This record gives sequence, C-alpha cells and structure tokens, in this order.
Amino acid sequence: MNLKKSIISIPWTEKYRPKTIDEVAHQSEVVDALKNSLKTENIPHILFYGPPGTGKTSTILAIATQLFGPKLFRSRVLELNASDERGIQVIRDKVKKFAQLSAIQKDDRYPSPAFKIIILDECDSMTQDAQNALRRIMEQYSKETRFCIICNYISKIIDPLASRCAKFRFKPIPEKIMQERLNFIAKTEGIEIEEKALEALMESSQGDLRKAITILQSTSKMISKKTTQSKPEEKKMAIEEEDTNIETEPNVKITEELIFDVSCSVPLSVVKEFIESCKASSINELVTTCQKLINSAFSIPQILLLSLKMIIEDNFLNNLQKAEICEKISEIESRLIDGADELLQLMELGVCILENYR
Amino acid sequence: MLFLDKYRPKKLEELDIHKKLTPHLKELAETEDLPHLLFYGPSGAGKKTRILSLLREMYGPQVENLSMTQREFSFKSGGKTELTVLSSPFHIELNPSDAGVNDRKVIQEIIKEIASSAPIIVESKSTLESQFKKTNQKEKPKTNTLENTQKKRDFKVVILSEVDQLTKEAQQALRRTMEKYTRTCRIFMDCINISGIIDPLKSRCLGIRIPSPSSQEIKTVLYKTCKKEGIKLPNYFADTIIEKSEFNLRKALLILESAKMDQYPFSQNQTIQPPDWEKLIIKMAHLMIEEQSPARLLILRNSIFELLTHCIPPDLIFKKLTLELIQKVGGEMQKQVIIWAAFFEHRSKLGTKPIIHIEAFMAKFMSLYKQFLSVNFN
Ligand SMILES: Nc1ncnc2c1ncn2[C@@H]1O[C@H](COP(=O)(O)OP(=O)(O)OP(=O)(O)O)[C@@H](O)[C@H]1O
Ligand SMILES: [Mg+2]
Repeated sequence: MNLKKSIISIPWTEKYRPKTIDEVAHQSEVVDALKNSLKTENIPHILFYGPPGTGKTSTILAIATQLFGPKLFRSRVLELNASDERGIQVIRDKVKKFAQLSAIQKDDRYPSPAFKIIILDECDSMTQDAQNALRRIMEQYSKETRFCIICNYISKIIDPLASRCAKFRFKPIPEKIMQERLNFIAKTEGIEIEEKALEALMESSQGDLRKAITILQSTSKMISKKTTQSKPEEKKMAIEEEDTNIETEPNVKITEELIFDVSCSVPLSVVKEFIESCKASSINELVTTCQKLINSAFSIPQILLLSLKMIIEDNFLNNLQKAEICEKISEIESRLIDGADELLQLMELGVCILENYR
Repeated sequence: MLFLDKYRPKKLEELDIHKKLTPHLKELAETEDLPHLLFYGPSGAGKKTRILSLLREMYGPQVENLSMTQREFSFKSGGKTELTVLSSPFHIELNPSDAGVNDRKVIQEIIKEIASSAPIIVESKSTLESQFKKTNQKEKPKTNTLENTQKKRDFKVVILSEVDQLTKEAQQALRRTMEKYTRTCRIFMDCINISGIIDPLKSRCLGIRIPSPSSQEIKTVLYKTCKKEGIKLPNYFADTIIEKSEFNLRKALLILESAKMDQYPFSQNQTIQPPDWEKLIIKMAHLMIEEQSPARLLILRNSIFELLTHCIPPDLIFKKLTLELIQKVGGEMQKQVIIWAAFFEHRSKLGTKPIIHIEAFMAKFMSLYKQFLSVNFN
C-alpha cells in the first residue's frame, strides 16, 4: 500500500503502457518484424494503422527506446502528432533541421543504429498537400531517417505515401488476450474481477484495450472504498472464506453490475423498447420514444450497433427488409459522424424500421 | 440574480438529480490517478454543475475563487484570437469552439501549453504571464499558501465545454496531449452529442452519462427553490412547468421565475407562454400548412433570418419545426417530414449556410404536401 502511494499519480492506461515491444499484447506480426530489426539494427519506413487503444503509439515508442535508449532518445527520435502544427512548411523545416543533426553518437547498452526516427502519429487529419510534401521529404532524407506514420484509417493516407512503407495493421485486441492483460493489471493492483464482469468489460470496450483499462480502474475505485470501510478483521475472514463461498462476498470483487454502471453501456432493454415502438407503427409514439431515448443520453452509435444485431436476428423480417434497415443504419451512422442531429436521425431510422415491420 | 445561478449547487452532496452518481463521483474525486472525464447528456441535465462540484470535492472551496479574464492569444503560426478564460488556482476553463475555425490552433498551442506546464498552484505566475498577453483585468497575485488548501494534487484540471462543437481537427489535436501530459493535467469535458466525438477521444476518457432529470427530480428542485424564495407553488402548477420544461432543469427554473413575474400567486388557469423563437416556429409551421407557394416561401425566409440572427441554432430550428409539422399532418406525411428533416439537417451540418438548407426543407415539404393534398382531396 505504501509503495503504491509513492508512485506518481498517473492513470493506469499510462502506468501500464508497454515499455518494451515484448509487452505489447497481441500484435505479433509487428512485434516479430520489429524484433528482427533489433537484431539487424535497421528498420524500413513503417505505417501503423488500426483502431484506438490497440498499441500503435506504444509500439513505436517502445521500439525507439529499445533501439536508442533513453539517453539518445531526444536526439534520435522526433515525434510529431496531431497536437503539433503540421502544415507543409512546418514539416519541411522541422524534418530538415532534425535530419541534419548528426547520428553517429552511440549508447553502448543499446544498438543505436546510425539513423533517426521520425514518428508522425495521428495522421488521420493531415491534409493531402502536407502528405504529398512529406513524400518528397521522405525521399530526400531517406538515408539518414526512417519514418513511422500512424493513423486509425489507412484510407486517410495517400497511396504514394503508403506504398513507401511497410504496412502493419493493428487489430482490435481479441477477448482472450485482453482478458489476460486485464487480469495481469488486476493482479498487480490487488483487485479481483468476476468472470461475468470481465465479459461485460469486453462488451463495453470492443477491442479497445485502453478503454477497458480505464473502465477497470474507475470501477476498482468503487470497490476499494467499500472494502476499506468494512473492518479489517472482517475482511480477513472474508478472504479466507472465499474459496468456499464466492457469492456472499460481492464487495471485494468487481462485478458485472459495477462494470455496467461505470461503463454506461446501453442495456438491451432500451433498444428492445425502441424497436417495439417502431412495430406499433404510430409515428407519434415513435417520436415520444425517440425523445425519451435522447433524454436518457445513451450513446446513439451504441444503440445503432445493438439495433443492427437485433434486426439481423429477427426472423419476422425477410432478407430484403433486413438489408434495407442495415443500409439505413449505415447511412445514419455516417451522418452522425458528420455531426447531424441525433433526434432527427434516430427518428428517421425509426421510420425505416416501422415501414419494414408493416 | 436568476434562481438558476442563485441556487446552483456547489457540492456533490447538494445535487438533487441523479443522486446515484454521487458516490461514484466522490470515489473518483478521492483517487489520485483518476482518468480524463467526458460528461455527456442533453442540455439542462446539469453537466457543468456536476463538473464544478466534482472539482470542489477534489480541491476544496478554493476552486470557487474564480477569476475571469478576456485574454488575447497569438498563435506562433500566425493570427490571434480572444477568449474568455475562467480560472482558479487549480483549474482553468475555456471554450475553444469560441475561436471558430481557429479551435485547432487553440488546442495545439494553448491547451497544450497549459497541460504541459506544472500545476497552476506551484507554477510561478511569471511563466503564465509571459505566455499570454492579457488585455483586461489584473489578476490578484496568488498567495503561495499551500498549507491552507485542504487538498493538494499533482495535477490541475482543464475544463473544456461543448467538445462536440469542436472541429474534427481540433479533437484530433487533443489526442496525444491527453496522454503525454496526464502527469500534470486532467481534462474534464462535456458535450451533448457523444456521436460528434471522434473515437480516439472517447477511448481516452471515462464517459459519464448524465441523462435528463426525471419529473420527480425536477419537482424536488422546483419545490426546494420555492421554499428558499418563500414562493407558494401549487401542485398543478408544478406539473405544468414540468410539462413545458422538456425535462430541461434550466428551462424549468427559468419558466418558474418568469411565471412568477407574470402573475403571482399562481392560479389554476395561468398559461405559460413559449419563448418568442418557439412562437415564431409554430407560426411558420402553420403558414406552411396553410398555403404552399413560392410567395409563402418568401415570407418564411424572413422568419428564418430572424431566427438565425437571434442565434437560434439551425438544428434546433429543424427539430422544432419537424415536431410542429408532425402534429399537423397525418401518418404518411409525418414519415416524409421526418425523412426530409433528417436529410436536410445533415446537409446543413456539411455546408456553411444553414438558411439554404432550412429553406430547401420547407420547399420540399410544401411540394410534397401539395401533391398529397391534390391526390387525396381533388
Ligand atoms: N497491444 C497492447 N498491449 C498492451 N497494452 C496496450 C496495447 N494496446 C493498448 N494498450 C494500452 O492502451 C494504452 C494506449 O495504447 P496506445 O497509445 O498505444 O494506443 P494507440 O493505438 O496509439 O491508440 P490511438 O489510435 O487512440 O492513438 C496503452 O498505454 C496501454 O495501456
Ligand atoms: Mg496513439
């Protein structure tokens, strides 16, 4: 306990950021390739892409540290992310300046190969023009620098740029591996998670390990309070009893309910109610339901996902009808990304479902 | 002072709505390694009040020592902007979306600067001073009495309001800042539409859902307010207010206050007038049903202008108009209204001139309605 207190207060997501590429969970393709590069002391230009919280930034930072060590890190690694101004001129200037620095220094404990790494993280919002300029810069300095481009959607990166890099896709973390990582963190932090709770955690994080860790941490705060409230002797007793009867000791463990509460997941019943109100084929009723849904503040994208699942599984609808609704859901999801109003979009989905249930 | 501000709760335990959330927030306030937070829910659900109460729980009453300054920020990359900044020794609050298209720069330069610097309380004042050129109002010099503040933390809090109003580029610009500087800074955000937030941002915070208050909760707050003000609120009138409030607590309190000024003691047949902009939209819906012609459209255009110049957001105009029209037409037409409202409202978000899209929606409605009338009644 004392030990934990002395550690600087950073959220678990940062605390458990992989320090070496070996710690990176699941992305074996990248990890193997990079391990190889540790041996050969060379890397190609690389492009990482994949959904949030799957280890892209962590991986490149880990390999860079493993190549150069903390001492040389600043002189050998340049990180430019979306929080930096990245217009054409700025990139040109910064890269030029950085590329001109010498790269001969060595740290004996690390391979420290004679090149520099330029990390362009979070490139999704980089303009085409800037990317085009980058392409030329990459060629110009290819001898002394390696570029690492990171984005969520590979479609945002122009082809000529992407084709110059070794591409690695970061996949959503599969449940089993996510569970391992979460169990490891839980163990280190001295908390216990119910099997069911783990499942709920998987459900609400959808392959995003960062999100899962955040929810786990926030939930654990709620139980830690409860356990410290109960008297120490009681607690000891409880732990001894544990293997004989788990059910009677809900406070020390993270339960499914707690996860549901903290993660604000949409309960299935809410979506059912929405679809039922569409079946009733009264627009007035539909409008009322939609307003209620909006007031409840449940995440509409999540409602879309759950509706999709229910529609597909509903045998009352034929394939054509299902297809029509699915298409509408896809249209509405993309409109919401554009910032369209949630109530109007939800009502339109309702109309579409209503038509198909007639 | 409005009831709204006069009786705004300051502490978590004073919050009368969503009491279930309070213990959870208290836990969070006590932890030293809490994550970034994103509060989401409809307007008038008390998001901001909750954020401020949480801050108070974390840092003690000192967070109420607010100073408001109008600051001019000049960007390294050229250009400048003026923003209102609210700050206490422990937190700073600003609204980057006020900078319009410059919101990305505000986040890239100002928020990053604030986030990366040491917590405000320890920070010597001069560094802040040299960063930002102030235009107005001198801040009182901060006293370095750390002992007096009950709760010390290694980080400060940056509050960003209405993050769903930020451009996608500005949201992107927050990503790495939120990771890199967690040691010195936590970001508390609020928004109405969580679907307007990019996934990587959602991944970086703990979402806290704040639904609208229930009728019962609104009632409790109304009666509490009335008790403090010595107002007699009959049950039937409380119900009327709740009905008109659309589950928006802010609106409920405003209605209560203006109704009291209208006529007090309240009476059984006292009516509550909708605000002017709503009246105008109701009238517009009526005009659209009455006649469908280019001439009508021209008249309506003036009303749209009037609404927009009074800063009524286009999506609100679309929504209100849709709900009004739905009440006036039958089943088939109702569907058309919804489909086209959803279509044009989305378009208006992509474009830059809302009036075009609102007008297009009205024209579409008129032509469909005219067809409908001629098929069914001719
Ligand atoms: N593959 C992984 N192995 C171990 N931890 C991971 C992994 N992926 C994510 N994490 C956890 O999530 C946090 C965030 O990961 P990271 O910053 O690498 O995500 P990212 O892929 O860069 O996401 P984004 O696209 O949002 O920038 C890490 O600090 C770590 O705690
Ligand atoms: Mg990243």
